[in-house]
Amino acid sequence: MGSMKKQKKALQICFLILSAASLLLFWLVPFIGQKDISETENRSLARLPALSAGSFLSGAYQDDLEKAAGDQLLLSEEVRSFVKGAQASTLAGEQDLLCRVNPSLRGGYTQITEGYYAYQGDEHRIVEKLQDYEDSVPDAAAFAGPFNSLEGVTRYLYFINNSRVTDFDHPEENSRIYDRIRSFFSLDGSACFAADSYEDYCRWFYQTDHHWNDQGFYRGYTEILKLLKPDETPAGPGERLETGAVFNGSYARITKSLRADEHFVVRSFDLPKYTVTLNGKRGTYGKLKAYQNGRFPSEPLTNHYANCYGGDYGEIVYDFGTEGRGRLLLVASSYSNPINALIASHFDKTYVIDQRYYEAYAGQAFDPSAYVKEHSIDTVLLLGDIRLFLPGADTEGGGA
Amino acid sequence: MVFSSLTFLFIFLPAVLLFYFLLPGIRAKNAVLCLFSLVFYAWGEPVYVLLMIASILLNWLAGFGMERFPRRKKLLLILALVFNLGAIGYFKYAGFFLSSLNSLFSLHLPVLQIALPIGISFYTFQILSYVIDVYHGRTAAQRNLLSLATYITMFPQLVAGPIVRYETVREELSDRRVTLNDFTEGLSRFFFGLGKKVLIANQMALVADAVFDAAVLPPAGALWIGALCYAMQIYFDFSGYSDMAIGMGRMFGFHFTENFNYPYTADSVTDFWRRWHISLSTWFREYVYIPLGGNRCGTARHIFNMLVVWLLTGLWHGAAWTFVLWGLYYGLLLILEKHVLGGVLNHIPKAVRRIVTFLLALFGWIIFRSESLTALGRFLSGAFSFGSSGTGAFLMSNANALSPLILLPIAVLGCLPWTRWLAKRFPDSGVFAALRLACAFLIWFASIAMLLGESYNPFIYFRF
Repeated sequence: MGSMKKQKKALQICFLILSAASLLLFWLVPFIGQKDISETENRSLARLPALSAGSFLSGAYQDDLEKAAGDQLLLSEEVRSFVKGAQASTLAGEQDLLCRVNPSLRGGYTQITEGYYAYQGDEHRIVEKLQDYEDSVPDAAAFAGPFNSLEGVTRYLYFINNSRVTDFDHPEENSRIYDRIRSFFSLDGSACFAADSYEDYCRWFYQTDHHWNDQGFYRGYTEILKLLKPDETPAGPGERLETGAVFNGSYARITKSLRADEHFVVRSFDLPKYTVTLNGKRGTYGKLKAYQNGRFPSEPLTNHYANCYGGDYGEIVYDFGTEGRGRLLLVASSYSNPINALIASHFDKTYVIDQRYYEAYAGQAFDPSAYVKEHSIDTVLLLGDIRLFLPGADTEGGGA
Repeated sequence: MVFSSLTFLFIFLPAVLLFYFLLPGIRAKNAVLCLFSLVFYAWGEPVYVLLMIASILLNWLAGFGMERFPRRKKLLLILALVFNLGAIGYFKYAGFFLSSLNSLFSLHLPVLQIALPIGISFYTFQILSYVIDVYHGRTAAQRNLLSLATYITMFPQLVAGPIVRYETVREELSDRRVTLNDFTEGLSRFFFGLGKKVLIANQMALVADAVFDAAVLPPAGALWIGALCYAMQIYFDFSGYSDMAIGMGRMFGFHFTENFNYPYTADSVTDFWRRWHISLSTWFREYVYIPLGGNRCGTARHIFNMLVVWLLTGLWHGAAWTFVLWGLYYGLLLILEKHVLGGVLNHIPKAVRRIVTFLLALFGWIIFRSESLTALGRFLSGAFSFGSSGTGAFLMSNANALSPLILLPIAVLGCLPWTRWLAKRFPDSGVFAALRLACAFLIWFASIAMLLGESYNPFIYFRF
């Protein structure tokens, strides 16, 4: 009985020593120093906050300390990575099991993380899902108002149906949101870039990015030209070149599920000489030539789309130095980046406005009426996905 | 601050333990507990900690005054009740009361938007037990302000119970010891409680939230899975917190009363409430039900007493009509059991009684979890549309609903008293004791891993 008591006591002491050592893990941080960067998560780590009365009363100190505890605890990165991996494997196993029980489930959406899905078991591609815009679609009226009141211009709209407004299970209804958005505008012409099916969607969009790929934007350009200047012949189709850059787009970055199976393909065109002004300064837009020559960043999360074709600016002005072909105002989101020059090549001057960044550049909100008058614009084109027309609606997910 | 936060586990808890065991003497230890408890409370409620301090002072004076001025003790009790119930009434129920008035009578009274002080329902009930017991002479008033403050603020049970009656810890406030066995048992109980909360409740919450908060009503199968997961979530969440509280209490030398006793194995609704949130049921029995007359009265009066108690029980859980309905639902079930079914229940096989009781509790949790009566109606209409299909597709397209389901069998197993059976079967087994401590340590590590891997860490009982 005595030895059993001793055994029990020894056991309890062992347990307490191990527990005390683990409870004191965080107290080692001040001695071994704080980490700044997580290599595995590719992000800055939270550091121990400074205490002040204000930060404590507002609760900011408490929140920051909790974040720092999570980030600075010994081996936290490795543990987090292990847990995430185990959860992903578990989920994949459960989904596989469900599909074995009911094979028809492979045909639908499979969630990867909140808001992002694989469709029909396609592990190579990440898509969004049709969201409920019923309540927010009427807000497009506010966006349309200033454009509807423009005088002396022809107005066009080109709507991009990305996976956010597409139900691959019911492709017959895919133009519903476009039809509703378009109804708020007074237009001389409009068209929608839509996919008839999931297979069709795969042709036009990147595997892990919300943007259209080189096939998609070229198709978009030809359809836009048919809308704006049906008698003109489109440029291209241009030269396609596989750069060798592995592309992990916005969806891959957000879901932290890197893919290694999509190579970034560029498409270049022979266009007449032109000048570009970016936010009021002459410059070069994008690094297409560098990509063609095999010079591009190799970091796995590089945004090759923006890096190659050009980023988002409040105002980009294209001047082809011609006369008599008109002036275009292109109000667009990043979908226009690879085809700005292509569209602009059919006009004397083209003004590309991204309203998300215009105010920061110009110091005032974009006023279509004043802008059209100031630059003698005769054609207006609105080009983008749902987020261009509903800037106040849910903006989570891949950037527009 | 919640027990399942990294700040609590790695900064607060080691610090309080260090100071507590370094300082000698019960007064110093009480001072450490009281001071750290105020910091613990102020961590989440920097301003409302003043309300708590005011409450401690006022109730200490009230108790002291009742003994000093026996002829005025009724007045002092009334003052204390007005203050304590007034505070909880204002912070917890004023908004609900005004919005209900607006809805019922089409008024436009401004509805107060007041943040609820954390744990107000718990600590108010503890304070009430103290002043009422002093009034009735069941306990002596605490003359030492620090001891009373330690009792009221004690962080292990401050925000989520169990509701410890003053009488339970009165002696330990002035004389307690912590043995190696106490501390080890307490710490391992804390680790098991943390595991219940982090490894099971948080995961079940993901499923329940995906189902109950879905914008489009999920198919019937998914709704029932969601309800079952919510039943698991609320049990493991709340009993996990109680385990952590009881475990920490033991580490500091206190012996709190048990709060759960495998409620999902109950064989009647009466039995369920003897096993679920025992400290709350006991409180209502002692301070509401018995003073109203209990069951030593006529049938009509007894039914009235039960309805009052269960209406209050519902309201204690939250200021919403769904909680009122939930309370009355149990009131009616208990009336049915006591006055209609009577001895009939004893003729039904125990297994059947257990299943029926669990289903009744499950139905109760659907009422409890619903955001509104409209949402409840919507949920029930979907849950009983048995022809609907699509549960598989719903799970496939909701990672949050599917991923944690692997833990559901473990949760169900955790509701059964097999560990108690093992402990009885091997009372002196060294192997069993070693396995138990090893399990506690593994669960502690798994909980930390999960907390690091997940930012999702909700706490159901924070709003009570």
